[in-house]
Amino acid sequence: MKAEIRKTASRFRHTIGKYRVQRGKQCKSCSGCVVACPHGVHFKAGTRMGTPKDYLCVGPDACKSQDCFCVEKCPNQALNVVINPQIKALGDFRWTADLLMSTWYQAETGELPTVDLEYRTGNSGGGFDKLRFRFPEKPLQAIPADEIDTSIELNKRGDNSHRITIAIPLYQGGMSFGSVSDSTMVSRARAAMLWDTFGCTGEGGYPEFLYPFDQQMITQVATGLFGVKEETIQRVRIVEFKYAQGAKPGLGGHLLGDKVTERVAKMREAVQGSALFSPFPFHSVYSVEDHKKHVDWIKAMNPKALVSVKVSTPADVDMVAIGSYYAGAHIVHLDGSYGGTGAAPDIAKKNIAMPIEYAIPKVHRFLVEEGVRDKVTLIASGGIRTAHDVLKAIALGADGVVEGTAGMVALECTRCSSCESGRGCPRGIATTDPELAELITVDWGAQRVYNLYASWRKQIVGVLQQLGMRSIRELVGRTDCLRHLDYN
Amino acid sequence: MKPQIVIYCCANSSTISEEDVEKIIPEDQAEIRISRLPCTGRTDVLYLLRAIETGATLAMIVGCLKGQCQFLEGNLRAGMRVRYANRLLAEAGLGEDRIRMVHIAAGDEISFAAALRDAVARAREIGPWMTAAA
Amino acid sequence: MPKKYHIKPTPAAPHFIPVGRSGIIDFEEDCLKCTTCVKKRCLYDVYKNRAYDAQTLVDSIDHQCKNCFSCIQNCPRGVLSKTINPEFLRMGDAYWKPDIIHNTWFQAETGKIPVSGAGYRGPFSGPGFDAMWTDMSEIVRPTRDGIHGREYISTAIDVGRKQHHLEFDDSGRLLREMFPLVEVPLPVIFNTLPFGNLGEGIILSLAGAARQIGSLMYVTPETYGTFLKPFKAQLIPLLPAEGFNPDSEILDGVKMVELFYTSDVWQRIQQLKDRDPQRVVSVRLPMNSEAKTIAADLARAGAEVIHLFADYQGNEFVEGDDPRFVKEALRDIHTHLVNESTRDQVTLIVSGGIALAEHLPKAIICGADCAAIDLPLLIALECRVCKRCVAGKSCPVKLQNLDSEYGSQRVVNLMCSWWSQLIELMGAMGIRDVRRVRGEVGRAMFFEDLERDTFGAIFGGQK
Repeated sequence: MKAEIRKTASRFRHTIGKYRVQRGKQCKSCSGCVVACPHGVHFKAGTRMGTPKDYLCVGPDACKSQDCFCVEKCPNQALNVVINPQIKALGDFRWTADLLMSTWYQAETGELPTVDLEYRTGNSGGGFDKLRFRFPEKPLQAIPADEIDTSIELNKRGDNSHRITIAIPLYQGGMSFGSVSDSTMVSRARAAMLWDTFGCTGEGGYPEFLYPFDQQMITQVATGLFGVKEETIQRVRIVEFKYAQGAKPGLGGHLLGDKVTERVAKMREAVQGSALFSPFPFHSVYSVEDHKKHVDWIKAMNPKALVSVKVSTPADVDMVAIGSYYAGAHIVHLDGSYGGTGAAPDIAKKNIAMPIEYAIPKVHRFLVEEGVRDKVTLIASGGIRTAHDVLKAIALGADGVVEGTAGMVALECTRCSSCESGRGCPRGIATTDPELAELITVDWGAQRVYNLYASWRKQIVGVLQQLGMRSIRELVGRTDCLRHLDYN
Repeated sequence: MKPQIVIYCCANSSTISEEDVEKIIPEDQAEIRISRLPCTGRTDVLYLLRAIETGATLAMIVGCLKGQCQFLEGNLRAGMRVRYANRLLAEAGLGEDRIRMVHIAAGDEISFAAALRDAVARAREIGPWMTAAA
Repeated sequence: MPKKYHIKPTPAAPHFIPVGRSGIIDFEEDCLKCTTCVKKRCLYDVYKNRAYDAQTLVDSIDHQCKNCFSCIQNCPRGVLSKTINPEFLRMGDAYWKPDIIHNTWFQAETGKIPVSGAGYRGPFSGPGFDAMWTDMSEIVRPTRDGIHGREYISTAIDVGRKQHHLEFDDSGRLLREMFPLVEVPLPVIFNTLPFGNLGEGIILSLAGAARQIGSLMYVTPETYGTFLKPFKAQLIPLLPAEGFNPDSEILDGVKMVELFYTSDVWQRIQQLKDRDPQRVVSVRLPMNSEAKTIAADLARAGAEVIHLFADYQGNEFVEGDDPRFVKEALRDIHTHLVNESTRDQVTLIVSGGIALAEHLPKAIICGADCAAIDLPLLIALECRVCKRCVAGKSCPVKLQNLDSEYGSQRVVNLMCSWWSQLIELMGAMGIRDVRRVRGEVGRAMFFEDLERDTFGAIFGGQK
């Protein structure tokens, strides 16, 4: 499959858009609106006009200023354009309706939306949403886009393990077999492969249908040790220890009974229908020395594998990071408290551990002070929603990021938060129900995620150009390129 | 006999409460029940008929001014349903215009009071359907 | 081995259709009557379970809907639509927000910990308790696996004065008797309600719930009645400042009593102690500019329990625009008592602005031994915090007719959920005993500190 952007529309009849275009009974099917509209909103279907594709509508102001406003051009005054009232019921403070709609648009087209949607920041009132870039008046050097390097190195220790470079500064977060559908897993894995980066199996075992992606897969060793066998550890080039997860720090994975189907139970060596709560913590790790034992155990089975340690963000996250480095980790992966999950207690999502924006600079500074920063790949996740969040995370001190929810939104997740119960996700993403899982085909899913990453990469290149940087690696820790709206 | 009136109001235009209604129409004059909807577009022909069936003399839908429905056409739909429901009631011989729709701007207490008084007067005129069908 | 503490929840569906967050609009006139109607395919059977409620004259779709937008996006004619419900947005007030009310209703109905998919939906931080995160343990120190019963986490507290040291005479006998203590299995007691006390049903519901979970409940001469006699072991009479009567009938058989702070408070305490030395006496002190000094004086002079209270929105009682929030005032007073070396001997109860389960461990971290809650109890009984009762108007959920068995079950469910969530947070912190959480600010992270240490270090001064 050739890797390129391909327009991949919604699986649903109506995509939710910012504007609503109404056509009344006065319409005489004259197609005047088709001629007027440069965005493809209006079209003729047979002898009548089709239902307007209102999610493409850029709104009255833009069209009035360009003298192509369909409402004014209609000879029968049959048209009206208003803000879509449905968007008031869509989204939340972190993933606003605008972010959801602009991510859907990017997943469809690989381009930034033409509609005036806010695609860079959400409405959370803090953290990334209060950070902005400080661009020089004119960049010191004008660099052509195709000369800008967005790749990052995952093994900075310089030891005998694999040397791995990924083409974009992100890889995918683990979503376990049992929490999401097969087609979701394969779609994401394929998109990761096409972008020369990595997917992750999550903690639920390594299903057969992911074997073709072995070389671009990370497998997870988590506290439940589901599906952890010598054979799976030896399949991959990167092994991830999941010590904790940002959305529910201090608590293990939750897979509620309805989602433990026969296949899931078999993979996890558990009982069908019985809820699975992973213990916390690893009951074999109570100190940094135990942690080193863990790392050594993996290295004994797969000597060349890179070891990633995924941790939450407690007050002493910097100590955890340095301890992980000394235990032999190549990648320290900080998962901030506002990250996604298949199921977590609401109280844990909100209250436990710190947001990623505080953890990144803390760990970056500490590793610099300890003199080991250039030997650690610092990866940040937990609420990375847009290309601008990616850039800000790197400017604060990370080498790269892991994304999770954004990829799901590309697959048309609406953030309804009902992933965990019953048959799971009505959109076919976070479900193991065989009927619902059919809602996503891999060709469609992989292309949507591919398109999103393509759009993100373009934005990353654009910002680097404005900053006059040739490579994403120059941005690491460059807080001088940022400003915070609450500070001078 | 005291007329029974059911009021459906849209949450956008009204903060009408039982007390406000009682100030306009004292309790001994009519029995009035209020139901709040997110939008009058939520009215259902079946539920309008049910309200009448379970004893209401008259049902009044209070919606936003035309063109001000936060839902764009919710109040227009409600109007359509009211007309349809009235046709059904008339066909069944249960009287005309037992269900009515009024369009009132948000917070306009004066128009609301006038509409309510009018509704009570009409309710007295037509009387409960149980006698009408007899 | 003593029986492990447990609260048993029993599902208790609401009696009134809850105010839903959004509303489904159905333009049925345009319906094509498709054979595979999107309504039939709704994953949550919302349309199938639609039921008309003759009491409120609406049907049940809106609050059952999970907002997946699938039906809206798939209907060929676009007949279905959604909007945010303005009545939802109007619920509550500036502090008691609609989400808090919804959250409380869920817990009161199910007794479960609210669990959902996808990440956190709320703002980055906020005022009050939202400006505080709790810590967790990872690798270098263990967490405690309490919620699934694998490890025992104790939530019990002893209310009363603690001995600093023991003194013996030459024959090895204790020189003085131990101070009386009241053991409560979870650090929550039921405060007086700021409004909405519409009848016996409410008080009986709370008393019944307090008894089921082993907690305590405040009563005043206004809310007391002989119907409360079976519950005397649960009651804490709150004696008024005016008309103080140490022989009041309300005191019969109770383990603890509280009185408002007055200038002659020690005489009053002595009178109560004379009549029953084993009864714990607590002093209720409003949080204001003098509270710190008065609390320090009381603690030094031998007070057993001090109940610091803020207003029901969590604000101190001071003039002007900037009263401190309860957590700041509490930290201040707690730290002062620590510096005076009197903190360990006295029990501090805090109330005012405790709205969510997470506020309980947060308040304890800020220095309280125990929290007294008020509005969450009322909300559990279906209250919408509309405050019509304050204006003398009727209650939309007819709380004056509340059935106390139903009410008790709703409150027990809420407490079960709060208790489970307390254990979750304690487990994540790696702490096995709630008494160890008290004052442990090192296991919390405060917004001001994180901002200063992170962005302050990078960007300099704030605007």
